[in-house]
Amino acid sequence: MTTRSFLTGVTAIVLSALALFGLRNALASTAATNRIAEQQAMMAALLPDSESFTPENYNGEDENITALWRGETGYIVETTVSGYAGEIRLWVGISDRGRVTGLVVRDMAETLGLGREALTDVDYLSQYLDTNGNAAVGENVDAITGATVTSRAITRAVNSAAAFVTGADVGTSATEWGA
Amino acid sequence: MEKSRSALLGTTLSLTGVLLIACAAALVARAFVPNIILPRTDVTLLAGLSLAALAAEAVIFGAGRRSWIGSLLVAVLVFGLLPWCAGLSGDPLTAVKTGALGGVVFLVCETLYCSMLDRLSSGPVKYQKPMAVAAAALLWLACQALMGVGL
Repeated sequence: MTTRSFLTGVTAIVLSALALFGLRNALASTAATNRIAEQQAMMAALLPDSESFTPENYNGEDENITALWRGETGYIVETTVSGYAGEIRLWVGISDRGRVTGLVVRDMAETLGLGREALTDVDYLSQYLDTNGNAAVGENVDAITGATVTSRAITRAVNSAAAFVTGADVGTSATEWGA
Repeated sequence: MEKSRSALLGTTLSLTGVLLIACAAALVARAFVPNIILPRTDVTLLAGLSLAALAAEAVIFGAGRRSWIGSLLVAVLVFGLLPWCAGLSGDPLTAVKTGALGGVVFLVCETLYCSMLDRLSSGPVKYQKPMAVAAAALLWLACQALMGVGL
C-alpha cells in the first residue's frame, strides 16, 4: 500500500510535468506570433504615424532606460523603475520633438486597487501626454489616490524617456521615493 | 506510518493538481493574451497556491495525520519542477529557488492551516468543509502583507 501510494504520487508529478512541457511546446509558435503582433500594434498605438520599429542599442547613462525602438516619427522607450512593490516597466512613445505621444504599463506588481490603477486609469495616464520631461507630481500631474509612490515612479519613467530625445538632465535614481 | 503515507499522497495529488491548473492557465494566457500581466513569484502567490492545495486536500481527502518532512520534500519538488517544465521559471537556478521558497511557504501554510482545522474540528460536521475553505481564504488574506517578498 505504501509503495503503491508512493508510485501514485510520483506518477502524478511526472505526468503533470510532461503535460505542461507538451502544452508549452504546442503553444510556443502561437505565443510567439501573438506576442510579435501585439507588440507591433502597441507600438503603432503609442507612436502614431509610425509603422515599422527597429530595435536600437542604448548606450547612455540613464539606468531607467532598458530598451529602445526607432520609428519613423520618434522612439519607443522602455523604462524600468522601482515602484511600491517591485519594478514597473513602461513603454513610452516619444516624438522626434521630445513630446510624449503615448505610454503603457507593460509590467508591475503594485497593490491591487491602489497602484495597480495605473494600468487602466486613463485620466491619470493622459496627464503625461504632450509633456517633454517636465512632468511632476503635484504640479502638472495629479497622483493616483493612495498611490503616490507609484505615481512618482511612473513620472520618473516618463521623464527619463522624454529626456532621451530632448537631452534634458533628469534625475535617474530608480530607487528614490521622491519625485 | 501508513496513515502518514496516505496523507502525503493526498498532499501530493492536491498540490500537483493545483499547480498543473495554474501553470496551464498561465501558459494559455501568455499565448493568447500576450500583454497580460501575470502575478510575480512572491510569497503571496506561493501561499495562495499552497492554501488552495491544502483546502482541496481537506475537502477531497479529509483531515488526517501529516507527514511534515514528506510535505516539505513534495512541495519543493512540485514547486520547482512544474513551473520549470512549463517554462515559467526561466533558468534552472530560478527553478531551484522557486522550489525551495515554495517548499518553505507550503510548510508554514500547512502548519498554520492544520492548526486552524484542529480548532474547527470540534464544530458541527456539516460545516467542516465550508470552514476548511474559509480558513484557507482568511489565511491567504493575511499573506497579502507579504506581497512583493520573494524571488
